[in-house]
Amino acid sequence: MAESCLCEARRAIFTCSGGSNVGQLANAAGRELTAQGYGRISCLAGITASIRGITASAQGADAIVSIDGCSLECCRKSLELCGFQPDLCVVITELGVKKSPDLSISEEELRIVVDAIKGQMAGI
Amino acid sequence: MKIEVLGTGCAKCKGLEKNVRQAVKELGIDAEIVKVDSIMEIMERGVMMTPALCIDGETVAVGRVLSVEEIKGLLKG
Repeated sequence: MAESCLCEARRAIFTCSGGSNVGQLANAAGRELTAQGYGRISCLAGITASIRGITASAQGADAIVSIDGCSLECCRKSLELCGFQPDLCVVITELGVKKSPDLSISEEELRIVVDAIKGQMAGI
Repeated sequence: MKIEVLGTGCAKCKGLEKNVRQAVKELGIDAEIVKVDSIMEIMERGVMMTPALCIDGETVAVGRVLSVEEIKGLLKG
């Protein structure tokens, strides 16, 4: 396989990346899951902006994963408004991380969130 | 007509390019077939998975090796 080939990324991962600790955790989790080969983080903004390459990539994915920081679920709702039904929806506050305006995240929180999502991904 | 196959060169990307060339041959159309293998250029188009197929600048399929018949259907529009 060629270096940097994108053909193995069969899950498209979208994250809210919002202005809170859990929003930033969502984005960090998406990056880490991508690094570990569990999918490929994509661009939620590109979906809402109807960027053809990005919407086509989501359509071509075997599964769509939505990672939200909090119960507002902006990522999931944005995807659905654009016609995409996620196969897995994760809300980080439901994993035991409390939402705060502090944007810093800890390695321990990230590990807990990533491990939980990996477990849920086993079903899709 | 310009047909671009986006992919860095793995077996799936080569498979799509092969099917594109076969579809163009079977339809007998005049088309320029271009292989885009730069990961930077691929991502610049928003494509997050490969292989991908663009026809006259529009991304029409991503993440799949389309069959010859599927490609012919897209080319016939």
